[in-house]
Amino acid sequence: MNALASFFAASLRQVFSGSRLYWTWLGALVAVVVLGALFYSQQLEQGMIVTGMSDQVSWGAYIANFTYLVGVAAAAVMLVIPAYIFNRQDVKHVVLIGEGIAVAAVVMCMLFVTVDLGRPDRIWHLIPLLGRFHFPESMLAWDVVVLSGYLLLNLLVPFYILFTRYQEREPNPRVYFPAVVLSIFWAISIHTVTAFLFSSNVARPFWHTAVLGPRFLASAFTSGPALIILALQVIDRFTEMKVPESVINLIALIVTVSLQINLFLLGVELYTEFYFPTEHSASAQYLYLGLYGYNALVPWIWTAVTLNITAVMVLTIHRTRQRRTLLNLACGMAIVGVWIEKGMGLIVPGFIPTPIGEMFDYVPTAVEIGVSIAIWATGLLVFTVLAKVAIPIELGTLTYRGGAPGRAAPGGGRTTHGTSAHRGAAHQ
Amino acid sequence: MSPERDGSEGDRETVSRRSVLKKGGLLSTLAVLLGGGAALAQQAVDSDGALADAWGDFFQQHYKKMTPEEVQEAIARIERKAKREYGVDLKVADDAPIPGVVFGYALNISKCKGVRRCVEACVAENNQSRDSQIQYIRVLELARGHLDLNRAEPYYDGAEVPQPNKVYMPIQCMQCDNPPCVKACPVEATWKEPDGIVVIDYNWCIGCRYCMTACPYWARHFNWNPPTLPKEQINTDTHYLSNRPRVKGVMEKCTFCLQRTRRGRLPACLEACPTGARVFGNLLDPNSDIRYVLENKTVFRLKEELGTEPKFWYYTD
Amino acid sequence: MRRPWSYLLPLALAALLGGYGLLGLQSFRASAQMAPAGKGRASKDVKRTAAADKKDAQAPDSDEEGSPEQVLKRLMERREAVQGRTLRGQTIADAPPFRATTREEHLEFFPCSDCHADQVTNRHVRKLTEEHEVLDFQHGGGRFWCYDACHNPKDMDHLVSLHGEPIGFDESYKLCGQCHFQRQKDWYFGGHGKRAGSFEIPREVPAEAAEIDFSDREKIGTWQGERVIHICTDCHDAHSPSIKAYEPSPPPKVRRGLTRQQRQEEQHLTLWQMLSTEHAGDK
Repeated sequence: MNALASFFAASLRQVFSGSRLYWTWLGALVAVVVLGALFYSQQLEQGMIVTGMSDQVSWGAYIANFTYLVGVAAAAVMLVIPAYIFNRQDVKHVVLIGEGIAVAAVVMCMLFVTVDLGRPDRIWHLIPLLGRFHFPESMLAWDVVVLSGYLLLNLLVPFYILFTRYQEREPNPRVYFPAVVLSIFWAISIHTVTAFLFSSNVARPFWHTAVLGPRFLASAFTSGPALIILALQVIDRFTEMKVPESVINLIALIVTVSLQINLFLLGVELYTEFYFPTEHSASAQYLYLGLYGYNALVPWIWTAVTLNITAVMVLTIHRTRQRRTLLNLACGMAIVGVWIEKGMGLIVPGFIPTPIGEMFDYVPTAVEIGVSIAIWATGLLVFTVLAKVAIPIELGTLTYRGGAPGRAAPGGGRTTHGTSAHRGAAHQ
Repeated sequence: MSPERDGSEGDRETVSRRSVLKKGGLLSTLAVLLGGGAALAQQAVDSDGALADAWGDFFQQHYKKMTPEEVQEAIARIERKAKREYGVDLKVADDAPIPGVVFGYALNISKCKGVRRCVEACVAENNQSRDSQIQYIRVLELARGHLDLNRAEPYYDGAEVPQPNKVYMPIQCMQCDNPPCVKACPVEATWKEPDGIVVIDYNWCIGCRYCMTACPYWARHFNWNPPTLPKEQINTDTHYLSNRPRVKGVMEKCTFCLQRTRRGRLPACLEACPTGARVFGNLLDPNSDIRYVLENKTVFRLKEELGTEPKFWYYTD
Repeated sequence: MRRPWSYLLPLALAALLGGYGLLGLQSFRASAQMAPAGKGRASKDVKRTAAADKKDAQAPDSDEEGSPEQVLKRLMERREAVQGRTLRGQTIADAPPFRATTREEHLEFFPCSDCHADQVTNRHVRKLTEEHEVLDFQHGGGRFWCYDACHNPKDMDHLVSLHGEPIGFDESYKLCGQCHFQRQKDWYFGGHGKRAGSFEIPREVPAEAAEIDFSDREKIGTWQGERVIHICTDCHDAHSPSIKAYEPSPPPKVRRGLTRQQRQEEQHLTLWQMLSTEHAGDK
């Protein structure tokens, strides 16, 4: 078997072997996904009427989650930059985890967009030449391009690195470094393009603001790295990969500064909307204060603001940030706070009131919630599978011991127990 | 070919006629059976041709890329489907835009009394789903002296209109000359025709609803559920790009009744208006009603500052 | 020696007052120069009037000559019909050609002379009790009565213009346009009224859309080709022309499966909001 086939065979073997905990985790995720598929089948059959969306509020939970997850995907860059540009060896040890999260996030994004389509069977209409791709005029077309490209980059670069490591060779920087640099710029662009998706709409004054791009990036680099901190601790606990303290500390710093910037930008927005309210501030009034008796989102947004402010206080103070429990709490608060702020705090109020002044509420239905949870489970599944393969290869315990082509490596997937802690140092 | 293990030479050198005939006969019988079986299965599963039509629909190209024959095939599929679902003989036209014509519409808000007959006529003429929220025209009741749409009331419902101190302003697709919805669509399912009407190819729309997000006049509507049309109320005089029956999951909107207007007739809303508040015509014809109104009356357009260049004007007496 | 500032203060005050005085004097002189030279101006005016008088003196004073009837006749002949003009300077004579719908054939009691030929003319405003009781006389707030401006008692089969010429019921717009000339101009050019189509008599608007007849597409009005427009009386009852209130069609529906929350009005109204909603119940 040649190296490539062996790599895939070994990967598959890795995925399908694990502890009881691993299988329970996988089983639970699969169960949730199946349940979600049942919900989705309802949507396919009856139409999107099973959701809570309407002509008035035509994007809801699906696009809210999509927006949030594009930010998480972009956040992988926050590991890539220290690892490859600043050559932080400790971060380089775990950078593949970040890219795995990025892949999982992008897959979730694509799934969320697909379930939001009224006619998913016609998705082939997006393919250039086959269909009609309205690039570069449509921002949605841009989004398709940047997300697909980002997925490709975050699959190919780790694949190259893992494949070379699998063959116990050193990855050649001349090959991967240009792709890494490209992926850094690309990561910024995916979330900027997503921001432009909203801010280009002159019909929606709540979004038609230049600050939306910076806000998206600031909140992305808050929630994404926060998720990475939690994920790395899980990896540290449940796998053989040990995550250095310094990595957590670095990422925590990134979360802190990003959250500070995010809150500053929030303050800027609030000032602009409320200093001299006009008809254009109606959506902001609806969100923060309630308007014409509609105030369903007011408790949500203030919860998000409170969570974010608490998180930023905990994170800003060195002493509290360095206490692991408090850090995790702050990260959790930031994750939830940004999720609320970007989801129901951004998507839904953009539609209320409608461009011709109607007030109309939006409440997600069970189908929407079920499908959304299932897609999150899919993302976790993707990440688990990727990590399950990447970690042993990165640690050097899963290698290709083959020699001449055609001769199958004896027990090619057998893991050997080596000292994993310093293996990462060899990856220079 | 390596020799057989049991030492026999095999039959490879003596291919007898019998074996050929045997194999050929077997193969051909099999083919006939399969073919016949397939035909029977097709009859059983798709006796009315619905599956075949669905197949054709799925692979249908964009309207602007289809040849006239392909468009006719698509139309034939639509007509067959209408026959199957509603039992009506639908006529789907494919009238091209009339050269030298750009449509414009004007509405006299001094005359509009908020009667809403235009809304009803539009629903009937354009085969809009009766069981949904879709109405291309929405009449806003504004307090006198206010153009603040946030205080408009579209759900007014009294015994009588006009109510004192109220102004009525119907809103529908403005057929913008610089349409944000056309720019937003990722698959070009909506575009501006040469006669100025912004149309949708219902067989191409993927239902992403980005155009609905982009429209500043709330003029685009989505089929959240499969449309319900009572078969006795179906308007069988349709056009591929306007009022032919739609499916769930696609967008739709006012097309200035192009099934009528491309044949020189007036839109249904204008016909239904009891106060004569609506004026329609060819903007390029200097002698048209619409040109008179635009030149001699106090006209304005909604949200003009957005640069959408609407072709729907409001005017006062 | 006394302190110097005790001298300075009075000196400063004196200087100030002196300065003001000088300024005042100057401005007084200036305004005196600007004052109209009474004689000069008057003489100019007088000059003009004299010239005008001279001109008038040259023209024949024929308007005032003759008997009152002759004077009236001359004045009536010199009258010009009021002409509204469009932006391009067109009058109704330049309007695009059209055909108006007919009215006479729809009149229930036409020809009117069947009854009116042998009636005594009664010009008094009164409540009609014998015939035409259903008519509601609201034209001009009751200021117009039958023979004042529209009907000719000697020729009830026609309407009559202010000049005394008969106008057929099928051309009633010429009568209406005498007073409502701006509307008439709009109507001639297409800015008022409607093209004839599926509603023959728009005053009888179908109550529901289901009653609108779509089967005969030929009955739909056109925006091109021959222009057939509704005559005034198709929409306006000549005796009570204002458009009456309607019962509106039902309000829009909300997406199936969702409900709408009623909007609450604001507590704090702006000045204009209060003013614009005043007199809401006044007729």
